[in-house]
Amino acid sequence: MASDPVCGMFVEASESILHATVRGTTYYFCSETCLKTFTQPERQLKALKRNIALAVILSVPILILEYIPLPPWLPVIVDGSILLVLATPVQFISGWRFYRGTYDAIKMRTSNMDVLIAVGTSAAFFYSAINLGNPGGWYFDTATIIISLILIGKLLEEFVRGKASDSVRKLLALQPPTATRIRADGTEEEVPLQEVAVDDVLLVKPGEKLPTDGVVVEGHSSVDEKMVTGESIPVEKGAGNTVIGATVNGTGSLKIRTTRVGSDTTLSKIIKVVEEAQASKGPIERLANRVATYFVPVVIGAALVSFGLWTYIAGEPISFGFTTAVAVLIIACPCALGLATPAAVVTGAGKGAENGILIKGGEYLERMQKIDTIVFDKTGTLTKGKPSVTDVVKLSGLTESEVIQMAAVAEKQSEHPLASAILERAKGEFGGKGVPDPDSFESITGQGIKASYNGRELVFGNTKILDTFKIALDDEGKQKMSALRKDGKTAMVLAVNGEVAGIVAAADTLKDHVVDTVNRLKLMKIEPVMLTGDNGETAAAIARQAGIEKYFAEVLPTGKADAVKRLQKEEHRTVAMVGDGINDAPALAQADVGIAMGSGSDIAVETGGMILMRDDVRDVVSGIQLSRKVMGKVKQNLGWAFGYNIALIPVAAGVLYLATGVLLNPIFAAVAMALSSVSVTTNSLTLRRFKPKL
Amino acid sequence: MSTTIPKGKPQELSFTVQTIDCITCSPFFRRPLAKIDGVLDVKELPMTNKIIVVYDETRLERRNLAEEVSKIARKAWLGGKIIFVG
Repeated sequence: MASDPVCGMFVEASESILHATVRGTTYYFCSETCLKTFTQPERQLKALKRNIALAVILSVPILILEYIPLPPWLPVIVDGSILLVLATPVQFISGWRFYRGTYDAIKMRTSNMDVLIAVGTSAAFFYSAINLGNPGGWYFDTATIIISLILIGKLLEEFVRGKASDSVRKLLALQPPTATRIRADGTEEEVPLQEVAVDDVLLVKPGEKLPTDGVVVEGHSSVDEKMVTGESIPVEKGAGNTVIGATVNGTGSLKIRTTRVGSDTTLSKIIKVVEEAQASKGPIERLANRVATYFVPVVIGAALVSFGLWTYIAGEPISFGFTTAVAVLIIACPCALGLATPAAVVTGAGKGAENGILIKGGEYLERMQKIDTIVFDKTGTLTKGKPSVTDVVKLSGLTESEVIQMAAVAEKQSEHPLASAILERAKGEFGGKGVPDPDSFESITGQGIKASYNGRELVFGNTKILDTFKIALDDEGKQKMSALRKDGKTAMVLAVNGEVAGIVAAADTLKDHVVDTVNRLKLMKIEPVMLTGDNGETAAAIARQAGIEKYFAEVLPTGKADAVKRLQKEEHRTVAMVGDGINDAPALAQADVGIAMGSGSDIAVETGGMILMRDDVRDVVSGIQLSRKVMGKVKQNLGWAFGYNIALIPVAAGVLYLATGVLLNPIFAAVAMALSSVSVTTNSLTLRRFKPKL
Repeated sequence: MSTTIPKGKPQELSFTVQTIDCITCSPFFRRPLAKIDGVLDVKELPMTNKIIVVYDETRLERRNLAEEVSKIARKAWLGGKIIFVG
């Protein structure tokens, strides 16, 4: 079973004779109308190629006949008439699209690129047609070669443009067309992806792509999520873990319950962000578009002025003024202005998506390159968000291993948040047997635990518990406790049989690569700032470990946006905010650029201007580097497109003729014009080589 | 007495126009579509020849909007050259 890509109807693929293969994928259709509608773009491309062939085949003899003298006995009018017969199909069949575009533009009371080409080539054609008996007035070659070159330019542009937006197509191709659904009676059925609904249970066999987002209900496997998150190491998945559609299952079978389908899936959202990045217009692009709006009338005016000045003021022959006017019309290219930004943004956004970095559009790219401050939310962004044991100190009698073993036994039945960190650390200390249960256990609220194990009386907790049981802590122990607290750690003391035996400290630790990231940001002249709800001592310790000098401590979740606002208003900074949770959303929105990390919550993803799919803080740096690269390309493209039009329109109007006697042939103007859009798109393609420098 | 029109989630109608490949052509659709009551935004994606119309479903029916798009296309000789993609 397959789905008609036009109307969505389900079609039996094996029985349907209506199918089309586009870029290696076969599509099936319910009717001829749907097939025709779908293949329209292919037909457009074929029509363009046919028109180019016709234009080139007829332009060659026109060029030969205009420059090779015919036998003297042949009247000039016959020569001219042959040229007219050859040029007419080029002008009105191959060049029909320009007339049609002009008609549309006039009807919509606007002007477009087609107007310039239609007016320019028609002027050359009709001027030649009324001068059939005068070889000096023949410009058939100009008209036909301009049409041929501009059509070739369109074909090249189509090709390069396809390459630039390849990333969107590649993402679409990640989706498997079908899924194996498990019916209520336990049997399996293969269904088209469009038929899969939320809460369906799907079977994913080894090596298969996951059809959609869901939660594992049975089985265990490693899943390669590189194509969606950029994470190169496969992730272990078991019951209860979430999985992303379009990722590749490893060697185990998985049963998943679907949680998102259709346009709600992670992949669909990625495709939407990448594709729509080109729609978001930053200030530079808005300027280019405004210029393009008035561009065509201004160019037509310039062509008329050029013709008038050369013919009636400078006294040159009409043909001279005519040549300059046609060259001005043909060389002007507002399309390059229009493509300069979207070509770079789409290529950059696609490259970002490959690396797990989603950029929402030109506006954020422009802001990103201006940021001088990055605010990190501490928990979950800079730190792992859950405590782990950082220090085990022996004070008397026991070894370090024994200290953690006894602490783990004491904490075995505790529900304290630090208990799991201690049990995790002690896991390997009992020869693979697991942490044994204490013989007795008593929790003393606000202080710690009293337990017994193998004839030993264990007391474990903060210093208050020592007072309760009248156990003395010597100076060395006090000093160690104080030093650990200064480092922002929670220190707990262990006493065995009424004597202090050691200290165990735990803390929320920095994620991998935080220090490298902070250093890299500083090298990029961006000041990292930390926001946290922790007290000043803990905040200072974490900031010190990360290498961050400026931090805001004891910030309530509701105060995060205010802290960002303060940096913007009072210190006049351009701020990016990195966060992951729902309570970060107001701060992400307040920042000049919100960076939502670790695929985060839906709200954070909606609010962020940049989304990092991986839980890797280095991607902040990669995202900034990519933004800067893309904006660099946008500036190059716009510089080229503006520069090209500003420099070459006067040249086409004959400015160089005044100084050097050189006049631009309209045919060369057509070559330049045809290549201008291609050049900005090709320049943007170099972004596909982007590699983050970390 | 005033009545409050309930606000729905903005919906999107996407279509591609193969012949519109330059920003000087995009006003063909942008201008007339922006004038329709219920249309909130018109996004142009020049690299993929796509136009996305964001509309308020409480004020404008999808079918009517699609018909308006087809009408504009016919007026601009683009009938048959547009494909609705979502």
